[in-house]
Amino acid sequence: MLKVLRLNEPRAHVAVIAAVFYAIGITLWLQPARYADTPSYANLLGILPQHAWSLIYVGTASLKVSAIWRYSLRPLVVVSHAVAIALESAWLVAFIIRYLTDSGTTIVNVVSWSVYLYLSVRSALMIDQHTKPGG
Amino acid sequence: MDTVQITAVVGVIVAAFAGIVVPYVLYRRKQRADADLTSVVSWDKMAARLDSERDSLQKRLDESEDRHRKQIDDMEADWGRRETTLRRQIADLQAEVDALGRQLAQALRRGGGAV
Repeated sequence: MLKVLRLNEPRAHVAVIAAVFYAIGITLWLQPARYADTPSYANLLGILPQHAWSLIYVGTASLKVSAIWRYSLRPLVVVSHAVAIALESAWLVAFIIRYLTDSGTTIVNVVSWSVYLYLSVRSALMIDQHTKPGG
Repeated sequence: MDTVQITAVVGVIVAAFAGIVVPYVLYRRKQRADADLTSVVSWDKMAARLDSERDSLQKRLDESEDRHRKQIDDMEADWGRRETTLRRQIADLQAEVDALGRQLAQALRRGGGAV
């Protein structure tokens, strides 16, 4: 099962994060009101509107898909990881600040983005063990 | 400064930090991995080891050749000694046969028989 799904490869991590980013990006674009009505996102939506964040997420997800497609192209893989980790870190910080300053929010987003960040860092650290010429 | 501004400032700092640190860490890891690979597949070391193995095998071959050549020399010398002994024995027997032949001829002459 592990072999079929390649769950022990960084590409599996990248694919999962890309799917998460597409889901977030598409819903930010199609359902902006839901995000506006959720207190946890207030700080983030105060910095940029939903559609801007949507484009950022979809762009980052597409970068990740490109990295899976051209996995042997190391600069692309490194850039896709760096962008994803930067975005996840920024959002994680925003959720932490919001959680600490607003009693109407939950810890759920902090935990979720911590896991996304963990998966991205883990896949970044796994690159060298799995990158092979033409792989 | 409200929380949105704080979030923006901290978020940008964190994102910038991640954007610099992640490529740097990955670059250093790649360098180390390449260095490890170079040390594992060092062609100079590989060539030196093969040279050493070749020299060792050549030395063993030379020793074996010398040992067998000496055995052959010993066997040839032994056969030479045996041949000399046998030739001497043949010569002695031949002399004995000649002496017996002469004695027989004398005996026949004394007895008046024909040889």
